[in-house]
Amino acid sequence: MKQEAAIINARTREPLSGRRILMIGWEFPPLQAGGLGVACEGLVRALRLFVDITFVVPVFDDRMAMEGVRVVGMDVEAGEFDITSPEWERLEGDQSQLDFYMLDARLSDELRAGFLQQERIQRRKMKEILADGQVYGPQLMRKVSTYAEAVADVFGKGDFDLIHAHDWLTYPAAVRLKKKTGKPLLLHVHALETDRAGPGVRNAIYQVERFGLHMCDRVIAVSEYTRRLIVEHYQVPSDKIEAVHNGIDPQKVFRAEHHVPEKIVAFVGRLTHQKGPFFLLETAMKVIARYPEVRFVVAGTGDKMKEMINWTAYKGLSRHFLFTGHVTRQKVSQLLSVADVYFMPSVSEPFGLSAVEAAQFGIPCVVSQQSGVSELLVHALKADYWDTDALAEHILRLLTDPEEHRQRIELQKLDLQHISWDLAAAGVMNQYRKFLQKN
Amino acid sequence: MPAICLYFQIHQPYRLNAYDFTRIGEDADYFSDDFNHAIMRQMTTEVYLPANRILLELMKKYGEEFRVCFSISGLAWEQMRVAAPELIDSFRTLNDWGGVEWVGETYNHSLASLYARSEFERQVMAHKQLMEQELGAVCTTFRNTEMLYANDLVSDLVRMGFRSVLVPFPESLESTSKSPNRIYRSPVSNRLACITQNSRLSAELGRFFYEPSHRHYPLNAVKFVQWLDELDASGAEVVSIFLDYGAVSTRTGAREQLPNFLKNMVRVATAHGHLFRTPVQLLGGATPVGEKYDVPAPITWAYGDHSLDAFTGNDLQQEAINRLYELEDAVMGLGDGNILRAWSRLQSSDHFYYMTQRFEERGEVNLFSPYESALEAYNNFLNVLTDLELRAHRR
Repeated sequence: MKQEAAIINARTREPLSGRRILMIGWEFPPLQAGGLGVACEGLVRALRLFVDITFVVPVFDDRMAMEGVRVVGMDVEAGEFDITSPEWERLEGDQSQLDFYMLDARLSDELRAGFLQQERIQRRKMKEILADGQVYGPQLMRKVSTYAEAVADVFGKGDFDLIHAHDWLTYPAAVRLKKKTGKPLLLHVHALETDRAGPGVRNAIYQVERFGLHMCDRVIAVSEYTRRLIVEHYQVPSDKIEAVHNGIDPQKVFRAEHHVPEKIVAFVGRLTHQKGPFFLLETAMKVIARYPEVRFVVAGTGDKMKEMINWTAYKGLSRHFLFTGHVTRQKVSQLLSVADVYFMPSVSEPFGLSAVEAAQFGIPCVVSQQSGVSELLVHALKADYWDTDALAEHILRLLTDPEEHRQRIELQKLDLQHISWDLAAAGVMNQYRKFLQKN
Repeated sequence: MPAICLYFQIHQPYRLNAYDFTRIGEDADYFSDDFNHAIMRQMTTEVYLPANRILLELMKKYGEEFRVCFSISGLAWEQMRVAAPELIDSFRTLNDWGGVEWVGETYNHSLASLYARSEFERQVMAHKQLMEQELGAVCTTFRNTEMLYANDLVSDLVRMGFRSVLVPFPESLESTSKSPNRIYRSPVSNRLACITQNSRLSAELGRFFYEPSHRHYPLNAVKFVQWLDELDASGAEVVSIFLDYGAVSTRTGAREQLPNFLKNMVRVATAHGHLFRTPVQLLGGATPVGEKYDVPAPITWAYGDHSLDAFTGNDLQQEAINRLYELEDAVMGLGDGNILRAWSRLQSSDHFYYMTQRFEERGEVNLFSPYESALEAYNNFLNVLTDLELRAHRR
């Protein structure tokens, strides 16, 4: 494999060891809402063998420790300083004129204390705005811009070689830091606003994304699918973008007996427009009509949950569904251990980690074409998300044809061999090299 | 002067455990015994017992002049046995004074009359038997869950030995020549009397008593009895005040509390010549005469619209209740006591009331629901029901 060769190269021929990457993130386990934290962790874990990584997050948690990686939270206060010095007061009145980078060498002790105090103030601001305990939630834009200020101040001295930032929440911070320090900037696109809100969206988040994608030096997309969307909806030149598929950590998989007499079709994800909830229901109805011994277990919550549940009640089909609400990791595993088919009808899915996890559990997947994972799970059954006839046909085939079911499982196992964080890290290292080798 | 028919209803459901989907097929522990026990304890000490003491006091003081009706659901009685034996003793004392007419209802406080008539009859007879065993009472007056009533219930009630039924009386009927303050008979039987609720005066004591924004707040006994007196001119025979016994609570912040109000009201009313009567006393031995009370479609005592919407008005409620009653044949065929008991308890109308979305739609909170939302109530109920379906269909 091309990528496998790349990983060997990375380790032997061209170690960039000692090179310092400043990663700007938003989620990091255990503080995470979606797949972003999981992806960042997997990537950092594999990359730390080759480069020095400082991972910046808005909110720090003691459990975020990873060996060989410096995790810095913007909400953690720096040490105590004396702010009574007259120099500090002068500085405070004139912060905008300061060029931290240039001044560094000539800093008096008092000035240095002043700068540290400035940093402390930024961090305290971050702490205040995040006092509601939610990294997302209300005032998200204010959180994002406060984060940008804090990151630019704290890391403004530029003691790193490259900035690598993950998703739109970090783009303002990354762009500011790039402008301040002149360091190369790599943006990593895990998801786009056009995935969540539809291709026509032109809201503030879209503008932040668009600005960042044009200001940066290079873009990594989690799939070819996402790369195409960046070109199409954000008009970024396609040769500026490289697709690097996410990996997945091996997990403990098991099979269990389930208690319902029906076969189980599982869905795991947020119940939002992006995940195609009503295509799921429409497909399900077509499956149920021809194969009533089936139950769709829908795991997750979201703004469409109420409507979905009402729909199944209105149709009198509730006995063919089970809505679990919020699920823990462990419960997802429990569900996957008994599922017969995994179904992901996403309208737009940059990657689709949940389908790969299902494949790990040995469940044949039916996924929409509009997904990154369809590039990796070559042997999953696919159809356009809106083509509920075809999706239903695929599910019915897997439910009724045991031989097909068995074969799909075996073939998906082959697909899984080409999905790993080491391969993802190799792909990222190739991008780092474009900037760091020149020096 | 018109008589006053005071009726109190007591019911407590078996509320469910938080029953996660992973328990389906593994765990038949549906009901939250701790929680239910705690609520019965709290209601007993804070509401039921103090109110019973006042009723006993009134019975002792006014003797023949003061009689009341009670119905207690079988599920409430079961829970009293475990959590509040002193409350049972207290009811026995009231019973020994001869001051109570015990009214029949469905054992499970269910809506079975709409969904499964055979099950309805089973529950009514089970409740009758309970009242006879526990209190030596023979119920001849019936009140259906939520006072749900329509003509088609009558033949069943007559067959089960009832001579009168407590029924709602929508305010809209008052514009016709009808009055809630008379005794009616059913158009489909000459043997069943309908005692119609005076919704307005019942609401004054139930819904509005503790409501400072209500125009008659604070209500006092003199004002209330004056209304009763005024009804005399319009030929009222009986004014029926039907209440949830839980309303007779001593809430804080009120100028006068309801139990105290009742004491004063009985004093003033009896002084004005009003007697507190029960259906048996009102009817005497006679066959009911009087006008017909024709109710072709079901109505309830729900304040305002008298509909069943709060219980079966939305898709979630309909789906849950339909699935529950579809189990009837399987449950009956199985003859498994545990499954039958669980199925019966799930029929309490409360479970469906928790699923009403009317509060959320108005930005209010469903005060009686242990759940955060209608959806949560529905999901939890369905998880339990799914498990029960598995067990009922398992051979």
